Amino acid sequence: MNKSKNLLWNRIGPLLMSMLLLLVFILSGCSPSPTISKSPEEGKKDELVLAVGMADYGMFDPKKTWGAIGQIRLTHSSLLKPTKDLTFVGDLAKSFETSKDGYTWTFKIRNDAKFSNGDPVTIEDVLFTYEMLKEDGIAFDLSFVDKIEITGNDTIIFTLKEPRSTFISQLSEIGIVPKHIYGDNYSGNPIGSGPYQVTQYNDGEQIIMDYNPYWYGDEPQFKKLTFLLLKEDAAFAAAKAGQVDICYIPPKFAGQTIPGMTLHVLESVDSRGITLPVLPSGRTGNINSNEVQVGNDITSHLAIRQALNIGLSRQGIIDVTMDGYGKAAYSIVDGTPWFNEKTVIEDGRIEEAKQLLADAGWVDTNTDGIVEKDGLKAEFDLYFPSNDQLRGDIALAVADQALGLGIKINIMGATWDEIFVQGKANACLWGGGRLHPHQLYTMYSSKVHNKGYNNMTHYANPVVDDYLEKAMYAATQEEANKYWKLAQWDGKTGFSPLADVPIVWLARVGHLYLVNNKVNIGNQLMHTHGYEFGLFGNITEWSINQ
Amino acid sequence: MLEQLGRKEDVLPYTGKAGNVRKKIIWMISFSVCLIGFIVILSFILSNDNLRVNNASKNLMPSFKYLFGTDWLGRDMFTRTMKGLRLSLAVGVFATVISVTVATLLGTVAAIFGKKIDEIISWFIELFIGMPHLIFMILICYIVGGGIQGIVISVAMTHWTSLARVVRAEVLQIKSAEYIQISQSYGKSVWYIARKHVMPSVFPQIMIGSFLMFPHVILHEASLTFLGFGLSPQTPAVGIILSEAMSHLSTGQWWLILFPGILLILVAKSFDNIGEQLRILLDPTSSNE
Amino acid sequence: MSQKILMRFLRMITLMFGLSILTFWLLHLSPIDPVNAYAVSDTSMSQEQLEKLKEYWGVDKSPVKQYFSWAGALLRGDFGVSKLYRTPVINIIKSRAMTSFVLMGTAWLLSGVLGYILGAVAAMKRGKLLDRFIKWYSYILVSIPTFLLALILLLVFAVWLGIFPIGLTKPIGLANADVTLADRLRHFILPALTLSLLGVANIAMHTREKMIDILNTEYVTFARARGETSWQIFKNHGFRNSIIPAISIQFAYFSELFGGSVLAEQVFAYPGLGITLTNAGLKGDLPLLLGIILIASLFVFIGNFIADILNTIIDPRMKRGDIRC
Repeated sequence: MNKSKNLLWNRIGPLLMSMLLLLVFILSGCSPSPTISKSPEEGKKDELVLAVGMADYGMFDPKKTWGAIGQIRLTHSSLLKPTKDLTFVGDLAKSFETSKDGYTWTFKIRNDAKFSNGDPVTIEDVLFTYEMLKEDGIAFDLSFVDKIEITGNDTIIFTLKEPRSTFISQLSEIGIVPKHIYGDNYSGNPIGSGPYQVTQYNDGEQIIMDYNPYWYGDEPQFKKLTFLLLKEDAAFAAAKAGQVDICYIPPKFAGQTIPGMTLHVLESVDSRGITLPVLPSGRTGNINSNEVQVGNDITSHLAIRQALNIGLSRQGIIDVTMDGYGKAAYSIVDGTPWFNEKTVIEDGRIEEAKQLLADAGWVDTNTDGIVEKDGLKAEFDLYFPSNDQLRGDIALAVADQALGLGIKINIMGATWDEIFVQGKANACLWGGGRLHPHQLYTMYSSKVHNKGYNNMTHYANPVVDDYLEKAMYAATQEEANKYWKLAQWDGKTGFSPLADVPIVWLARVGHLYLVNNKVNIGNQLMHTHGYEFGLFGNITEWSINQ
Repeated sequence: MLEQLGRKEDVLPYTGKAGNVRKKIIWMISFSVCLIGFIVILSFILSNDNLRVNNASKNLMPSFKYLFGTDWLGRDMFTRTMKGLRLSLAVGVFATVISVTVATLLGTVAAIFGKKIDEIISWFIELFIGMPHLIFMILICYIVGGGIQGIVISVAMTHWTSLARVVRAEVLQIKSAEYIQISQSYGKSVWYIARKHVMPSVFPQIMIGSFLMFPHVILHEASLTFLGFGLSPQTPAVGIILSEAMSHLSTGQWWLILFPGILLILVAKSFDNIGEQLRILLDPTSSNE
Repeated sequence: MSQKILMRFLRMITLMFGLSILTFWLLHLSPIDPVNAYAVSDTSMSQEQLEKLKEYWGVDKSPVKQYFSWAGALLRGDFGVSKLYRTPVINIIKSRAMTSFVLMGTAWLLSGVLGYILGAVAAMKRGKLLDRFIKWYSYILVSIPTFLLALILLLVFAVWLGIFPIGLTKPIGLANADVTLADRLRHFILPALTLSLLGVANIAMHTREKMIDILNTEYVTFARARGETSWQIFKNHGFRNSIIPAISIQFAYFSELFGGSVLAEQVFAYPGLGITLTNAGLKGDLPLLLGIILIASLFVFIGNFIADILNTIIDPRMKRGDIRC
């Protein structure tokens, strides 16, 4: 017996010993290690090292979707740009006007703009960029543009097939590329007319940008930017080691502190919500030209959607999944000029939600904690992209709270490919938020059913459609905003939490950055969906703190 | 690939009396079985309520109340780990059973039905042994859409080869044995011989093969899940727990990785151990060396 | 001999062919539509582009024709266009392959030499403390998933001790021209170490077993009786008989090495083929995923082929299939 113990110890012993050793290693690892501050000598700081995520998608080429989430401000310029109060002003455009009927948009471009190689930005370059992207059709939707013409040497006229007030989104997101240089290898040598030029790009590792001496705007304080393409954890570790000036961190790291860096919580319109199909099951439709099932027998009941809408505690979800660094959301446009503030509701009303379900016939008859109606159990699947931890966490928190209302939500992590198959027959954890209102149209108009992955819930309300059309046809932004708001809630109906709620919006994610105390990142624009580049909209205003 | 390595001399320092060796082996097998049984029982006893998100108990160090600490959503890591291991075990058992079935079937068929069939099956074995496993598992998971089905199918498709070879060799050996020849000369059908004579002698090999295959299956499951191709996040699986832990390394939450990691290794080792000891037990020549 | 090698070569060709059919068949079974997979956000793809894609994937043809048009394109080096990067797949693979191959090559050599030495030493010192240590080490490592080992190394050496950088292949913010070999080496050590440590276990255990077999043979017993020292025994009998199996095992290890590299690159943010493969898979970039898989398979098959050849050349008596278990 003694020997048998010996044998066992011989086998398990070393295993346990090495575990112990490991434990000691790891334990000592968690004690605060001395951070060597490697910040450069005082006063002469004109370089920044930034770790703001895997920021390389798009690869500086508008044809590869560079610009779709606002990153172009660093390297390119566009016809228009958004301001801090979310109106649109000229960037390359010296002036612009829209015809009364909304069909014709005319831009005059400035003549002092130059690309980073010294060549002037000409009207030909603008024409080339738009025509190239219109023909490509993948990165930007320009299918509503009928024709593009130039007159003189500084005027470009877009004639649309139908009025579209949200054309401003493309106008402010499409970076102009030089006609005579652009080609298949543009990513390798991306010449643009922004404040910075890409001087080195190590695929999957880092991007180095230097100041573009031909930049026509205010000269930025920082002449060299190095973007580290690191994941959150590695970025944080690099920041801890004093190698990074600005580091994006997910909310779960917000409690961590690094000497010499301050946590900045920046407001965003980066919203998360759950799409709830409004039709009963048994239909088919398309997502990206894939034929898919449409409709869900549970979420098609308004009572279920409304119960979730008023019963879930948005703040509770934000507290648990984002450590409180977020704001409750009631639409995908909260905080913008086109948000209808009347649609903010009080939530977390569990008893009321239960009553609402009971009134609609949803009662727990078999005491399993889940309500039923006509033999149908209030249970549905909620899909989320499995590589997005925050969405997974939110899904989990939603399912947890919904159980308290008597609704069972099964959360399903999946790839986007699968979500684009299941997305119209099941709930999805959706995200979005741009600095323009176009997503209101693509998410709620019945005209975009079965196009791309627009209007996943197949929501259709003729009154809302009418407002959305009017908003699109509006000649001025003010007029458009009026209709955007009416579509949300006109006192009787709308897609907001007060009425149909095909999408229960939950939260706007706070964008969190640890910033070197010496660096002043100025007065930030509202951040959009995707945190990687939100910070750089005002890069030329950044300065050094005294 | 590694399952047949360095086994034969393990009992070397103790080759005293055969009975003694036997005792030790049984002792070790029971220890491994107990460990696995303990985890499975615990995973059923522990309440699902421990897995609810809880703002009050976020990021806690291991303590008496939370043996393995808690994660960033306030879930009890002990419960998560136990339930995670159970899921890994369940997926592992399922995938192993399928691979073993495939291996047995093809191995036997290759050995029995003559040279041509043998050639074909050998070619297939070589094909599947030759492809880079993890990479093909990624492809299969991607195509199937991940999840438990993805793991089961990809494991079943890639892990059957080595056991099929063992089965084939074993059957070939039995086939040439005298009593089979006699049985054949009595005009018994091929299937009769396969069922009555071959299967009983091959069965122990298959048993051992499955135990030795098992750790590979759960480690591959963990790896695939870790990369994001396997089980969906928020399912309580060890691979998920470890991949989440990776994003908390630099914040010093060591308990998220340490305990689940150790348990995964222990469970894999236990299965390996059972298979290995069974082999020694059933193959006396090797224990005497 | 040369005829045998030719036969092996032909067999490898049929295997490659089989692999491409298998891959294609898997794709054919899957619900994923390669053409549709291209449609990304906010898009209205032009008809012309759709046609081009349809032609590449041969969507409208019969499966057999589809396969041949696809395989034909592959043979011409046309792996399609990556959906994520929107550049030809082959270019992406070219730009990233070097990183991975250097990493894997180093790990392969290191683990081979180290593993062989450890295995031989363990066998020669059988039952001694050193042998037990080497055995335990190999046993434990075999049960540790690659990514876990990588994580532990990262935690200890990069996060805690700060000896090595946390990831990437070169220092932060340094222009390409200023990166020294030493810089690259510092970034290279941890991932290479992970792969080497794991590879060692495999070959050490094989060599140890093989060596014990050799040491148990009668001629070694005879040599011992004649008074040969351990070193002489190793030199005269052990080495000669164990090195070739060791080398062929190491060649057959290519498959595991590729898998290990995928995991190690992921943990160390070391941008080679592995990380690209993972990203391609997670973001649904089918052409890129397939391209890397086929290239990886090609190398693994070549590794197996070399292993076979080695066995044929050195030990013609060895039967096919005995080298791997």
